Amino acid sequence: MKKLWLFTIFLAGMIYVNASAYDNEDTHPRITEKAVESSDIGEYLIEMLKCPDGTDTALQGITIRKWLMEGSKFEDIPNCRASNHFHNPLREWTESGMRDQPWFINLWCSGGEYPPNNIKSAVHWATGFTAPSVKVDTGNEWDWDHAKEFYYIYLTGKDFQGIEIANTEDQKKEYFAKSLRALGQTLHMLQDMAVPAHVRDDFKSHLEWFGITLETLFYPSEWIGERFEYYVKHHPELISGAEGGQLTDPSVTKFWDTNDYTGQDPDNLNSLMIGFAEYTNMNFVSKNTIFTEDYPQDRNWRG
Amino acid sequence: MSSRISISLLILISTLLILSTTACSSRMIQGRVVDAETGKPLEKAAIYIYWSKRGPGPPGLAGYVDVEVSEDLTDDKGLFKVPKYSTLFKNYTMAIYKKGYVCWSSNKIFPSYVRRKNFRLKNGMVIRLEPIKEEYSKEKHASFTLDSSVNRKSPGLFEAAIKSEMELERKMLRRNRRK
Repeated sequence: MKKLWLFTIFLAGMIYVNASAYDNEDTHPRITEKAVESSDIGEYLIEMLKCPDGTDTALQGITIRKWLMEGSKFEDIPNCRASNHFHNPLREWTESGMRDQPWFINLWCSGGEYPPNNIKSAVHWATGFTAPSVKVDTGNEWDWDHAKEFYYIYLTGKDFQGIEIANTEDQKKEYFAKSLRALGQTLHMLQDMAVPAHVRDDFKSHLEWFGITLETLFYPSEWIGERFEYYVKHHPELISGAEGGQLTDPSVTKFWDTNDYTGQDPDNLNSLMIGFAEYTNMNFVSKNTIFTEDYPQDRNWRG
Repeated sequence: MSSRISISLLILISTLLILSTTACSSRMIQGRVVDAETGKPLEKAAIYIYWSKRGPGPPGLAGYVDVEVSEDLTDDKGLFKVPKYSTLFKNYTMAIYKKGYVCWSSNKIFPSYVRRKNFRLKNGMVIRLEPIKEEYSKEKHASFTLDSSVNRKSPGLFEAAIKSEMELERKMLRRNRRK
């Protein structure tokens, strides 16, 4: 009987309990929407692609803005894809992905498309690069390269090998929609770099016990989670106040990691000119990584 | 005796688990939107409701999945209809917007952003929209409106209604970016 109980509780946990990265139905599309609206993509669509309503232009029944937002939701589906959403900028990019996941995550993902022995770092998964100038295919069909190729097919009807893929206008529009979705999925992985746990080898902080209150009694998804993600989800007003960075060389991987930060004193770097993962790693700690890494500046604190 | 109780509890939990993964039926319920000051019904207020549920997965990985997005406009009596699922297994976010009024959200209250409590989604509910006041920040209200309806249909009824708020938000975000 005791074993049966344990099994039932485990099953209940597997079915109900909580959350990957930011909330995929709420926070990710919200950040994407703010990013789209603050960018010049609307003008580009109107002037260069003759989409009369900019981001409000409908493509296969939904607007361009919505395609991007939906992309940032899809990146967490199926949920084991989220194993590829971690990147510690202080490690080599082949070693910087999620590494502290507990056994039940490995068990859950071991039979699917994203097994635990094939976890990629977010920058590799999003861009294909394992170092600033080394590229290794990840098998991700919704990464930055695919976003570009889908866009190319939309414009020319041909893929990067010159093979005719889309002949009709409808087929081309289908690839435009796919391009937007892939860009949305890529943005998701950049957004995750704002979460300290995602850039400091701390998957386990997603398993923090929040406790059960009268208010959350019937919502097991609220009992466990990652406190920073929870806070952002419940304070959406924070996102509107965000300001942009000043990357001087905006090559794609540099949005994640410029490789300039190696653990030195943050005051010696221009924080607006480094990658997002570096900025977060440098300035914030996650639940299980407070003074646990051997940074030079921490040594000063420890004396 | 204790064995009987245990078996009963096990059956109950198992039933809940099965219901949580299979229950997907909804029913339509009706509500009314009125002016908070005069009590008069408000016509053509846009209603948005988004239902989601937890996807399967272990702790740390499971996310949410969409169940349904539904939108409506109030009639001349201020009446509207939205789908209702069991809130034991599904979450919802509802927002109501009419130009000239503060956007109403089932989650938060503008302008304080305090969490809304004591609201129950039920047949016959009455939502009171507060006329917008001079002292409220128009930009913050625009952000609040968009944040309250992030999963709205696009294009859709709600999005058409909040067009001016979207324009305002866009201007603000661009100004922030260029700071």
